[in-house]
Amino acid sequence: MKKIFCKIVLLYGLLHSFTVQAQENATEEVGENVEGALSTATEVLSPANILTIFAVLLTVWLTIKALDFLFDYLANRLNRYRLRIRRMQPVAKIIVWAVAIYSVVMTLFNPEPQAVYALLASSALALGFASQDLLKNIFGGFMIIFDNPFQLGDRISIDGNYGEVVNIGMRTTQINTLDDSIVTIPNSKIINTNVSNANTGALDCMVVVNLWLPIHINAAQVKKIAYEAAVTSKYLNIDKGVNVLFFDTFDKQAATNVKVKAYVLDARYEKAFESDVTEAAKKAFNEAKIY
Amino acid sequence: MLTEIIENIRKWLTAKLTFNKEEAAHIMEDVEEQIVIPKSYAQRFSLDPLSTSELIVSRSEELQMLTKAYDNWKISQNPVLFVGEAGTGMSSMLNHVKNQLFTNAEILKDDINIASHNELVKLLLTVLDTPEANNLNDIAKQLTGEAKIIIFENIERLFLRRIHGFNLLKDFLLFIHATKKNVFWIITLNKYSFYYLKRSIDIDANFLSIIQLKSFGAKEIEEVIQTRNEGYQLVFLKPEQMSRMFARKLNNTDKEGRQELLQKQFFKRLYDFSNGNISRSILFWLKSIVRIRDKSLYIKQYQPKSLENVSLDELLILEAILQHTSLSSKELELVLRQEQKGARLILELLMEKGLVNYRWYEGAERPEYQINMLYLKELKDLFRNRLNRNF
Repeated sequence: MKKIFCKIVLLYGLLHSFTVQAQENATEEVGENVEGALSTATEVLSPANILTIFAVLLTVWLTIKALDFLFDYLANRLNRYRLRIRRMQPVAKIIVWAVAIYSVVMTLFNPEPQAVYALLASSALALGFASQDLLKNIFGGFMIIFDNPFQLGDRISIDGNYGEVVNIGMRTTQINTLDDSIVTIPNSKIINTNVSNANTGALDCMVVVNLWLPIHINAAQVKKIAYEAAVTSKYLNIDKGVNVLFFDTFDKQAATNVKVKAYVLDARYEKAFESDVTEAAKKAFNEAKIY
Repeated sequence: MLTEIIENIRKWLTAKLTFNKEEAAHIMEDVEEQIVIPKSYAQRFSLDPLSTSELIVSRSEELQMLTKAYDNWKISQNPVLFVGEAGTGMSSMLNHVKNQLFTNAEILKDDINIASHNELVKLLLTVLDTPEANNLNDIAKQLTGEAKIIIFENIERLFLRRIHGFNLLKDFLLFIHATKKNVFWIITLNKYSFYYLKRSIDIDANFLSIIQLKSFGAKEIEEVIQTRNEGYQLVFLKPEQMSRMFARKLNNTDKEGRQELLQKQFFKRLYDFSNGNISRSILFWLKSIVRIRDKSLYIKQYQPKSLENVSLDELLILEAILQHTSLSSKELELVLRQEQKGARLILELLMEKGLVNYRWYEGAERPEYQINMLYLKELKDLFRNRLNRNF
């Protein structure tokens, strides 16, 4: 009995000493790790690094402003190539951001590849849950830039909003409508909606002017007036043809719909052209007693 | 890196803007310092067409084509159309045609717009023996007898860019076809009117033979200027701006060599400016004269003004004027569908900028506004860049 008791006491003593040793080792190791992590964090978030990041952000902001200014200047000076120049604007911005982010990360943090993968994976997971809509919009922005359904300067129609594309951002696209309002549309919505593009990168665009006349008209006389109203407009792109088409409608009352199809010299003057042709044609119809 | 780029852009833009201001100031001084050229000398450089053949620069290719067109007319009775830019010597060439090639030809020309059938008939009756005719149909019916050669200059005068504004021109084209058996018609049309009328009413379909007047080459342009300067000694002065290499060349040569170099450089610049247009060459020459003493002329390269801040409205007006060669304010109002006061106001602004000038023609009720030839090339660039035109 005494022997057994002694063995138990000995075993307990051994176990105790091992446990104490293990605890001491673990405490030491954790202490070292925490110290390491703290020193790394201090190093990464040093005032110098933070200031550098701010300096880079400021530089990027200034560069983008300068690029905007440069693109505006070039687009105004070389109006003929305006749309091509504008097309490069969002791409240039993305390149500036990408270069800046890459430079900051690689210069200041110089992370291990495994750390980058882990960070990307965990960030993607976290961001994916937290900001689904934001990511959709950003990916939508990329899709718009690379798929190119429209570009800066194009005149597009989305969900009943018609106007000139004035900005393609990472999250949203802005349209300047005909009544000079800026409509901001999330990019995710654009890639899931039908987009109608009036000029698709060309400077000019087709305009259809609708003229409504009584059903009993002298078509030849009306055709001459409508054609000349378009062909004498100062906004016409004379290099492309003018077509005059006739349609009879009997919906509410019998009428002749005369469609004048012509190209305006610059998509910006689309409505001015439409109004100019309508006004001139109406005056001539009145003088010819057609109305 | 980024900062450097921005700094460079800023420097470039600053330099560019400063240069423009300085340049504009310099031109103002130039205008103030412009000397008065004696009338006897200025007459040699008149922009009016030449009536004699002495100063005519060779147009052998075009004249050869005209002779061929005349031979063809004897078989197929097709009229011929000359297309050329104002200031390229079209009228002078046709005067030469009348003096040397077809001495029995009649020249019809009107410097102002022909607005009605009556005015056109009146003009035609000055050369056609159909005194009882009241309209174009009558003339066509009564026109018999010996074949005639009629040169009708500037048929852009027969149209106005407005609704029903093509009627007179279209009727005249029909009249040409109705009379082409009895008349060899030589028609001329401004290049810019042709560009417009070709696309709007297919004017080119009426002519099997279309002769485009070519711009002159550098040699011919120099000849034009040198011929008119006979009897004068020309002294070429250093230009305001020159490359370092050219300055070094000048420093390393004697007086005679310098004059030769400066003359060569001057005519190169003059040709670049004129682009083969005689009127622009003459204007450049006159602007470059800085002093006249007895029979010596001192020449310093004219520094052309760059065109800035031309608004869209102004450009559209300038284009309308170019399409018609010249327009009165009343006609401009009709073309632009604008009230007259508005059109007058913009014309005044354009006059202040020196982009248009006006001229009173005999019999005209109003002055005719036309493009200042000094800026024609720059305006063409603006039309191309801002109005998407392909002149």
